Order: sequence, then structure tokens, then C-alpha cells
Amino acid sequence: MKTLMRILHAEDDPDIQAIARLALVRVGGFTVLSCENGRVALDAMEEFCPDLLLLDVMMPEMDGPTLLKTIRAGGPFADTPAIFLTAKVQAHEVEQYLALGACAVLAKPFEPMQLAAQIRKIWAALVLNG
Amino acid sequence: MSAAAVTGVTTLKRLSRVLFVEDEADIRRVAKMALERVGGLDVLACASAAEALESAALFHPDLLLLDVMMPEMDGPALLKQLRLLPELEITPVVFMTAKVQPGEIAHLKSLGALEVIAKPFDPMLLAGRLAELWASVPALSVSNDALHDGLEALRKQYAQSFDEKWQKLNDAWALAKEGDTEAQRLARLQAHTMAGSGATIGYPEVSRLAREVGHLLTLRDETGDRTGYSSELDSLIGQLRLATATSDEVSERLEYPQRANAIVKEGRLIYLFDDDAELSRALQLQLQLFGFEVETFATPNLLESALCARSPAVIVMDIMFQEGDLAGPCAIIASETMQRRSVPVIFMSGRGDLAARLEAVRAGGSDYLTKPVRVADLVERLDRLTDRFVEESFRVIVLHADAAGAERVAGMLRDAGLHVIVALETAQIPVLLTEVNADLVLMNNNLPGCTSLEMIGVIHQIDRSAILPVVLLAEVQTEVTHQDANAVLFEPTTARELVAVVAAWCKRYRAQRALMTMDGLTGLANHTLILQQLELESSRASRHQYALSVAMIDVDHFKRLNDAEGHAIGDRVLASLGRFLRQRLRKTDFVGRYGGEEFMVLLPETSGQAALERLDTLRREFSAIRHFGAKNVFSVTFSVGIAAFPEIKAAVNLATAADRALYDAKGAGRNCVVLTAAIVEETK
Repeated sequence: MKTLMRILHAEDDPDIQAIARLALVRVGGFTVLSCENGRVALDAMEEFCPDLLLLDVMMPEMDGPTLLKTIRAGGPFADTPAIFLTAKVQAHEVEQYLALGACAVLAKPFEPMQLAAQIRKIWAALVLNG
Repeated sequence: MSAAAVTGVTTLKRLSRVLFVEDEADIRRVAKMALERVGGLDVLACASAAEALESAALFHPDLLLLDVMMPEMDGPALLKQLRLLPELEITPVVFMTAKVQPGEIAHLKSLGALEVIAKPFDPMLLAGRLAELWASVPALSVSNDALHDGLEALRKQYAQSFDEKWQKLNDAWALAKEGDTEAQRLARLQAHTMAGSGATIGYPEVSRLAREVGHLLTLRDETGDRTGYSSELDSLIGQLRLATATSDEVSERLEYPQRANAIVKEGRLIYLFDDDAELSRALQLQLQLFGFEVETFATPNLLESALCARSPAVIVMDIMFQEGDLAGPCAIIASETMQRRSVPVIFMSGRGDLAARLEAVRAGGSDYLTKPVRVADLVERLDRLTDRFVEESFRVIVLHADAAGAERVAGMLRDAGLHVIVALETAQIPVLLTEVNADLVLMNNNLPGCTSLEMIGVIHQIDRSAILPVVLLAEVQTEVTHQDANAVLFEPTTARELVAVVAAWCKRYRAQRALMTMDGLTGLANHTLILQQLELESSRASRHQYALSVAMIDVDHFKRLNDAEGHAIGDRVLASLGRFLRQRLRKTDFVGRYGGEEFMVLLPETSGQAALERLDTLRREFSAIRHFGAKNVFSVTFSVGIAAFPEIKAAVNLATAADRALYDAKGAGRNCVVLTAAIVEETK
């Protein structure tokens, strides 16, 4: 797998959007596109060509799980790795996300200075396990 | 020159996307083609500032390339507009202009331009120039100060708008208290949002209280109690209003993350599941002798909880397969978590029939051993699965006179996990070939001072690289006539093509070299190679004046063993000793099969006394390993003779001296280690 460079972040809370951007762009050096909901993210996919999706769960219009389901159903991004970044992290919820094809779940609130490193770690494990 | 000195600098991120704005259609077409074809870049070419502003944010360029003179809005004005987009706040910019007066250039640079490229320009060189400029951009990580300011600004902003957020929650709660279920849903949603953002931005108290609020609202929902927890909620929401008064100090949080450790699995950790405690203990001891860390588990539950804590390299399961019964341990490894972690599992079973083997395969087993299990067989499989001797990544020397071109191919190879050494000058090649154990040379067809054909000649003249594969990178339309290169790739080559060709030749070369220098039975260096290595090590030892010990190891009563158990078993013992030595010695030590049942070990920078102690430990440990013959379980011992430099002055005589010491060891009753008399006398 290639180097992780482009992250599409779907998140409706502008505060989280802003701090995640700081954490991923400034600290992580990634290229990040922030979208306010799943619908916007879906529309932007083709043009942005993300290496990785970082998804909130609860969003208006289209939530994260629906977005992932839509993408996994087929098309050019069916295999794009996805991570949920959400406050809903009870065991049964996490299981659901993983069953949908997410590769990891990160909990909110999160530590902005560590977010990029956590994502790199997940990416490295993905590369390691093919 | 050391190898490290010529290794290219790795930048954080490679240049890949360029936003190019140019109103002249011809220039736009030429530059776009040049950047794409020569540089392999992703280019979005826009004809006007308006077009650029429209698509810039979505395209997310790494670099902006802007024409200066354009109708409607010129380059500098466009830049100002682009900088307003948060995505392009810090994106490096390069201007292009035909007006190259010093004053004009200074002005453009003062706007933050990395460089001003003069028109007309050479399209073939444009991509290289941009790559060079890109490499000069300081890593995209920003200073702590800038980060501090960024965090602080976000925190202030959050605090300022907090009252609004709180009001929203409070309003919804006021209605919910009256029994409005939709308002209660909204309140929950708002609490949820605040719980997620508060601590992230630096207000942990916000998260804590909001979580509590959300929790109580959920309870109200679930119990259908329209009035429940009202006073608690009133109080919590009241406290929440003031929660931004306490915050994390921004400066405390500004610690850079430690470099993430990519490897999650622990290389030598083995989980052994066996309900027979005695057997499991015995196997544990045996495996430990081979350097594995072994934890044993008697119940599925214990195994499961241990799996949550640490991820082993391999799980070994001793199991009775009941027909169709995959409960317990098998269920664990078949579980989704395990599958995702992809820890290989080796089954050991008393049954060797197809049905049992099928069960193992279905449960996700990587391997299957029938009992009684030979430790040597198990170790061999564990070795394979733990990749203890995983081949080091292929080493490629990239010879390319153009730094940007070199970095481009080097980057592609590095991304694929290959180790790359970049040489920008042909003169570096002879040194590199002797110092770096290269598997391949990748060179540009266009070398200064000599032809590529001559360079290949030079490479193949050097003993060490006499059969080293060479891959040529040629410009399109260059006629490559000679057959001396192993492969020719035409620029611009894709990463996929490049990596496939280079890796295939590296692999072939390694296999070829292995055939020439490896002993087939043990996989160790053969007689020829170990003598070469002895020569190399002893000359290094005398040149740098450090100690070098040579140990000659011989299996005791090997002929008797062969007669009693047969040659197949004898061979297995030798293979097992080879593996044992390889695993238990340092990486810098060198082990080879000298011949028959004799092995030679070279221990650089090790005194005779230290070698004696080390080998004596190994001797004791090896004699504890149980070997399984056709009918018997037996153990095997070996004798060792050691000679060391500088006690044996002439390094060349080390092998003979070690052999003499071995003879003494045999005479002393075998199963012991003897240091040559010369040293013993001196140490006394």
C-alpha cells in the first residue's frame, strides 16, 4: 500500500473539524479535506481521491455508517480504509462499525497532538497485514 | 565516503499534486504534459484565476504554480485569494513570468514565493526544478509556537461560542422537562456533541459533565420516565455553563507524539495452549532453548484475555478435535478480532486424518503437526512464521546524475520497502559496491563521463558484484542497443513497473547467491563462504586490532547416531543444530557448516575467554534439547575447540588452531569446550 497522504474527514461539529485539521495538517503533515456530513463527503470523494476516511458517526443528512455502507457497496472507493472517530464507542457500537468494514475506531474526545500518530500506527498495521 | 552520507534526505511527503494557472493555452498544454509525463505529477491546469479559485480547495494541491501576468486577476492577486482558503494557507507557491527584473523577482519572493521561474522555460526540466524546490521546503511540521497559537485560538473561539452551545442545550432541556420527546432527543444530541469536543479542545470538564447529562437523558428515554432525574439534570446543566472556566493548559499538551511503533506483534512471543500441564511445560522449556518467549495457557478464557493484552507472533494449540466441534479455543481463533490481527496458529493433534486437518484449516490454522510433535519441526515452522530470518529488505544503489530524478525513483522504491542508497556521481560506485551489500544497481542511461555500458563493465569487474544485476532507466526514444543490462525501463516509469522489475531481479540475485554460498541442509554458509568470511574477519581484526574468536564445533558420536537412527534423523539433528546456533548467537557472529557434522563460528570482537563462556552455555543448552527418532527420544552433545586472535598471532592459522583445540576436546572425553593452549597459558 502507498504512503498515507490524503485524509477525508467527515464531521459536522465545526470545533472538532477545526482541531482535527490542526492535528492532521499541522502536526501530521497530511492533506485533509473536511466535509460537514456524509453526503458532502460522498460527493467530494471522486475529486479528492482520499487514501483514508475518518468518519464521525452521527451527522445530519447522511451519517458515517451510511456513508461507509454506500462506499463499500462498490465503486472506486470500495476498499478505501475507514476509521471512525466518535464518542459512541460502547462495545456493541464498535462491533457494528467493524462489521461495516471500518479498520479501526478512535474515541472522542481525542488528544489532538496524538491523533496523527494514532492514525499512522493504524495505517502501518494495515500495510503490515496487507 | 560512508554509505550513510550519500543516502538522500527523506522529505515528509513527496510532491505529487500541482495546481497550475496559466492563461496562454500553448504554455498550459506544454507545461502540463511535461509535469505529468516527465515528473509523474498530478496536474490541474486552470486557464484563469476564477477557474483556479473554483477548484483549488477540492484539488488540494501540494504546490501552486502561478503565471504572473493574467487578465482580470494576476498571479499575486490570485495568491492572496487562494491563501484565504484554509486548505491553501501554507501551500508553497512558485511564480512563472517573462518579466525577470530583479525588482520584480524580489517583489514576488516577498509574497512568499519559493522561486520565480523565467519564461521561456525548458519543459523537460520543469518537473525536476519543482521537485528540487519542493525538497527545499522545510518539513511541513510547523514550529511549536505556531501550533501553540493555533490551539490557543481554537480554544478561545470555543470558549466564546460556548454560551451559544450551552443555550441550545438548555433550551432543549427546558422543553424536554415539559415532556417534549423531540426536544429531549435534541438535548441528547447536543450533549453528545459537547462531550466529544470539550476535552479535545482543552476543556475536559465540559466533556465530563456533558457525558453525564447525555447518560441521564438516555436513562429517561429508556425508562420512559418523563420526570426522572430532572433535578440532577438541572444541576448538571447549571454546572456545565461554567465549565469552560477550567481548562487544560495548552503548553502542557504541546508534547510531540513519540514516533508510533508500527510493529504491533511481538516477534518472539509464542502463546501455547495445552490442557496437559506437564506436556506444555516441557514444550515451553524446549522452545525457550531456541530463543522463543513462551506463555502457556490451560483454558480458553485465559488465552482470550491474554490475547487482548499482547499480540503474540504465533499461537500453538494442542487440541483434541471432537467431530465438528469448534467450540472453545477454536472459536477464539476463528473470532473476528483474531482474524483481523492475523496471528498465525499452529495446531498439534493426535489425529492425522483428513477430517481433523480440514477442521484445522477451517478454524484458520496456518500449520498442522501430528503428535508426537518433534521440537525441531515445530521450531522450523515457528521460524518460518515469525520470520526470524526474514530476509533483509533488498538493497538497491540508485545511480542518477540528476538529484530530483534520483529522489523520484528512490522514493518509489522506498515506499515499496526497499532500502535505497543514492549515488549522484559515478565515482562513488566502486566504494559503494564494496561497502554496501547491494542486490542491484539502478542507473540512469545518461551518465556524465562514461557510457552506461562502460559503467556496467566497471560494476562487473569488481569481484563482489561480478554478477550483480543492473537495471537501466532510459529516456523515451533512446536507442538502447547493448544487452549488458538485465532490464531497461523507459522514463517516465510508473512505481508499479519500477518496483516489480527491480524486486524481481533482486530476488533472483539473492537466490542465485544463496545457491552458490549456502549449505543445502542447514541453510548456513557453506565451506567456501565461511573460509572467505574468515579471511575477511581476520584481516579486519588485525587491521583494527580487535579480538576475533573462531570456534570449531563437532557433534559427538555422530556416526553412532547415524547408524542407530538412520541418516534422515542424523540430518535432522544437524539442521536443528544449525538453527540453534544461528538463533543463539549474535547477529554479528557468523555461522557456517564446515563439512559433515562440523560447524564453524566466527565471533568478532570477542576474546577467547568470552567465546569459551558463550559456547559452553550453548553446549549445555543444546544437550538439553530432546530429539525424536523413529522409536527413541535422545539427546545430542557436541565438542568445541576455540582459537582466538591476537593470541594466535597469524590470523590465517586460526582455523588450524581451533581444529587442534577441538581434537583436544574430543580427547578430553567430548561434550566440552577447549581453548587453544596458547591462550590458556597466557590467561593463567
